[in-house]
Amino acid sequence: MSPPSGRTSRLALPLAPLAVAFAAGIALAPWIPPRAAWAVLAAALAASVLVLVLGQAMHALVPLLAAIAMLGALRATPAPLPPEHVGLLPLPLTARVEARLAAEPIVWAPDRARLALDVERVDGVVRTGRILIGLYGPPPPLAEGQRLAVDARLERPLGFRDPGVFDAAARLAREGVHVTGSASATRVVPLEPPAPPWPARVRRFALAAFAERLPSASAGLLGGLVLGDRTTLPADVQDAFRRAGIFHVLAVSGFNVALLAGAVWTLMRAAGGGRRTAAAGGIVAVLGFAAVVGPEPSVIRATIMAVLVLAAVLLDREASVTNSLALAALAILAVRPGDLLDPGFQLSFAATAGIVVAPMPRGTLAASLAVSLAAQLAVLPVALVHFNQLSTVGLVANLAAVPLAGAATVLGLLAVVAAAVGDVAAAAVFGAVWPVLLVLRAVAALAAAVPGAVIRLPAPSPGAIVAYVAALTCGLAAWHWRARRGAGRALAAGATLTLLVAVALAALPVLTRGDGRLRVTVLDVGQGDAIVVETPDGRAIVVDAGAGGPWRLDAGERAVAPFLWNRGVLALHATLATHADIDHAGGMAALHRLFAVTERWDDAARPRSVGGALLTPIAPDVPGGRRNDRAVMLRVELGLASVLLASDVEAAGERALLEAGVPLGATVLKVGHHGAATSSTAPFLAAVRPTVAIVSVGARNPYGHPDAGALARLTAVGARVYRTDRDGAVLVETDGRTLTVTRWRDGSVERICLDPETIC
Amino acid sequence: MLGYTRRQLVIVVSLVAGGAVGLAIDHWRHANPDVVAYLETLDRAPATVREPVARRPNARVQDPPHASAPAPSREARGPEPSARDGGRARPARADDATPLDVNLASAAELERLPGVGPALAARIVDVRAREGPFGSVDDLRRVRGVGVATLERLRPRLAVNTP
Repeated sequence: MSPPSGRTSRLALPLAPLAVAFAAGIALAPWIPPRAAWAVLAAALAASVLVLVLGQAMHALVPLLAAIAMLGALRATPAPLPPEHVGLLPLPLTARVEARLAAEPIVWAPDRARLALDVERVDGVVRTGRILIGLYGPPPPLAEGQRLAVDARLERPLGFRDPGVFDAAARLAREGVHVTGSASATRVVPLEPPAPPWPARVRRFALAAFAERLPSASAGLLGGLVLGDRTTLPADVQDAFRRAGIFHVLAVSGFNVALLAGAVWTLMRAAGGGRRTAAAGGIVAVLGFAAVVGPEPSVIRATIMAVLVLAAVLLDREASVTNSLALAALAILAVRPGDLLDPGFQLSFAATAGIVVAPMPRGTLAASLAVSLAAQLAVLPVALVHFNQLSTVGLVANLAAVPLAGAATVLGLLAVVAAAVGDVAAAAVFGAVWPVLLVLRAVAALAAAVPGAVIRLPAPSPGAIVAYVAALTCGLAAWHWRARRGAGRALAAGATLTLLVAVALAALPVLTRGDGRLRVTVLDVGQGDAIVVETPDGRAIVVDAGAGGPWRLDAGERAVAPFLWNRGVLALHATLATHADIDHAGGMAALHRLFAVTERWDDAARPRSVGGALLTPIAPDVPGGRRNDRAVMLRVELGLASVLLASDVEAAGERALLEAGVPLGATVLKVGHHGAATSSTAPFLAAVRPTVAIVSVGARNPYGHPDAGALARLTAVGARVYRTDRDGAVLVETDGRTLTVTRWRDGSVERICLDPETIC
Repeated sequence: MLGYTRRQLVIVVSLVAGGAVGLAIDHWRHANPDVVAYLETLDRAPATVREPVARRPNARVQDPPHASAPAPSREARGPEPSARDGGRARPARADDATPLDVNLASAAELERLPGVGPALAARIVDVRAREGPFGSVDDLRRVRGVGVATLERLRPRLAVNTP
C-alpha cells in the first residue's frame, strides 16, 4: 500500500480531491447550518487523527475529505458586517463620502464612469467597506489609490429578481459590496493628487500607445487581447466575437499568461540564457503581468500554475499540472470563496481541466482540434448555465482565431515594449500587428454570420450536469482502457447511456411545454413593464419588454430573454409593444434580435384564440389624448380566469373604455401605469373587479409610484395587491378553474378558486 | 490512483486542523465583538490603563475649560468638524519635523502620522473628548490600538504642550 519513500520526496500529493472537497463544501454552504458544520468538522478531524494513529493511513482519507468540505462550508458562510460598516447605514442616503479608490476608474463612456471605493468616512464619521459609485458627467483625472471626497446618493444595489435571471445584487453581495451609489462628476473632490501605482501606469501607457498608433476599433481589440480592457471596443465587434464562440480571447486569461511565459522563455533561451535564468525571467514577467491586468480569477489561476511550472524548472523538479491546477483552485477559493459561482472562475477552471485530462493525438492540426474540442466540451454546461449559449461554430472558429489572437497578443506585448523604446521600433511593431487584428476581426465576423452560429438553450438542471460530467468521465475512462476489451466496452456503453440521460434531462423544459395551463408572468424589470403570456399549448407572447436601448441596462436582453430561454421558450409566437415609451418598448428590439418572432401585434390587432386562450387587444379611443391613453390593453381569458394587462392607460383612457362599453371584468389586473395616482380610477376598478392586482413598479423610482391612493382604491374593491418592487416577479398560473399566484422573491404561493360551485 | 502516504495525510490533517482553529477564532470574534473589545483593552500594560482612567473623570474633566486655551475644547467636540476643515484647509504640516500636540491635533492631522489610519485617529480624538486631554505622550496608551510599538514609533512626532 505505502509507496516507497522516494516518491514522497517529489511532493506528489494529489491535491485535486482536496480541492474538489473544498469547492463542494462552498457550494453546499447555504444548506449547511454552521453548528452542524462545526460538529461534523470536529468529528471528522478526530476520526482522521484516530485512524492515522491506530489504523491504516488511507482509511483516514474519507473523514479528512469530509472535514475539508466542512471547512469550505464554514469559510463561505458570510461573517456579520462590523458595526462601522457602510452597509449598516440607513439607506438610501445622500452623504459626503471620503474614500480611497480601490481600483482604476472604469470610464465606459465619455461621460460615464464607475468607481470602486474603499470608504474611510461618511459625513465625517469613520466607516469601512467597499462601495461602487456611478459617475455621470466627464470624470476628473483619478487614479487607483487616490483619496477623494464625493457627495453621493447611496443606495442598496438592486438586481432583477426573476426566475432564471441573473441577479446583479446577489453577485455584488458575494463580492462584499452592499452599497452602490451615484454622483455627479462635478461633486468629486480629489483629496490628494493622482499617483497611480506602477501597474496602473503601465496599463495606462499601453492603452494610450494602442489608441495613439492604431485606428480606434483595432486599438480597442488589442486592449482586449493584451489587457482584457474592453471599454473602448465597439459593442458590435464584441457581439461578433461572442456569437463566433471566441469571446474568451478578449478576456485576459491563462492564454495570455502562457503566451507571455512562453515568449519570455523563448527570448531568453535564444539570447543564450540557461534554463534556470529563463524560468526566473518567466516568473518575474508573469507576476508583473498579473499585477498589471488585475485580480481576475482566470489570471490568478494561470499565474499560480505558470509560476509553479516555472519554479519546478528552477528547482529541477517535475511539475504536476493537475496538482498546480488544484492548488490554484484551493488558493483562490480560500481567499475568495464567492468566486466559485463566478462565471470567469468556472470557465477558466473547466476549460483548463478539460485540456489537462483530455487525450492528445499526435500532429499539430489534430492536437489543436483536440484542445479546442476538450475545452468546448468542458465549458459547455458553464456556458449554458450562465449564458444559455451553445456555440456551433466555436470549434472551427477557434482553430483560426486562437493562433491569430496569440500572434496579436505577443505582438501587442512587444508593441508596449517598443513604444517605450522609441518611435521607429513602435512603428514597425504596430505595423505588423494591425493586419493580424484586421484578419482576426474578419474571422469573427465571418463565423458570427454563419446561420445558427449560436443556439440558445435553457440552463441544464443540476441532474443534467451531473449526468453530463459522468458521461465525460466514462468516455475518458473508456479511452484509457480501450485496450481491455470488456472494461472498455462497458465504459463506452455507460458513457453513451449517461449522455442520453443528460440530453433528455436538459431538453425537459422544452419538451414539457404546453401542459394546458395559461401562465402570465409579470417580470421584475425595475421601473417598467415586461409581461410574458404562455398559452396552454406552450406558445409565448411578450407584452412589453422593459427599459432598454443604448447606454442603459437592457431589460429585454438581461431579464426577458434569459427568463424565456430558461423556460424552454426558443421562439416567440407574438410580441406586443403597448406604446412607445422607453420603459415598455425599450427592450423589444433586443427580443426581436434574439428570438424568431412569428407575429407582431399592434393596437389594430383583432381578438384571436391561441391554444385555447382568447387574447383581445383593447385600444382606448381618446382623440388627441396623451401617449399613455393611447396605449393598448390586452385581455387574456381561459375558462373562468381572465387577466387584464392595463399598460399605462390613465383616467381619460379608462373613461373612454367605460363609455364604449368594452367588457372589462377580470380576475387578475396588471395595474395601469405602475400604480400612478392618475390611473385605476374608482369607476374603472368597479368595472374590472379584480381579485388579484399586480403593480409592475421599480423600487425607488423618481415618480412616486405606486401611489398610496391608487393602492387604497385597489384594496377597496377587494383586490389582493402584489408588487414587483417588493415581491420580484409575480407568476400567475391557471387551468381555467383555479388560479395560483406566486411571489418569486420568497416563493410564497396563494391559490384562488374561480368556480363558486366546486371545492378546490 | 489516490495513493497518499501516512506522512502526507498527517500534513493535510494538521493543515485542516490549523485552518479550523483559525476559522473558529475568526467566527468567534465576529460573534462576540464586545468580549473582543474588552480583551483588547486588557492587552495593555495594566499600570497606565488603570491609573488615568480612575483619576481622570473627577480630576481632569473640569480642568480644560479654564486651565488651557479654548482650542482643545473645540477639538474635543468630536471628529466631525475638525476632520472636515482639517482635511483640506490645512496643508500637510504634520509631515515636517515639528512635533504634533496630541491635545490640539485634529483627526486629519493625526492621520498623517505613520501608521495612524482614520479609525485610530478617530479613536484618539474620541478618547480625548470623553476622558479628557492626555497628560503625557505615554498617556496615549489609554487609546485602544496604541501599543508599545506604536507609541515608540510616534514619540518623536508627538508632544504634549498643554498642562
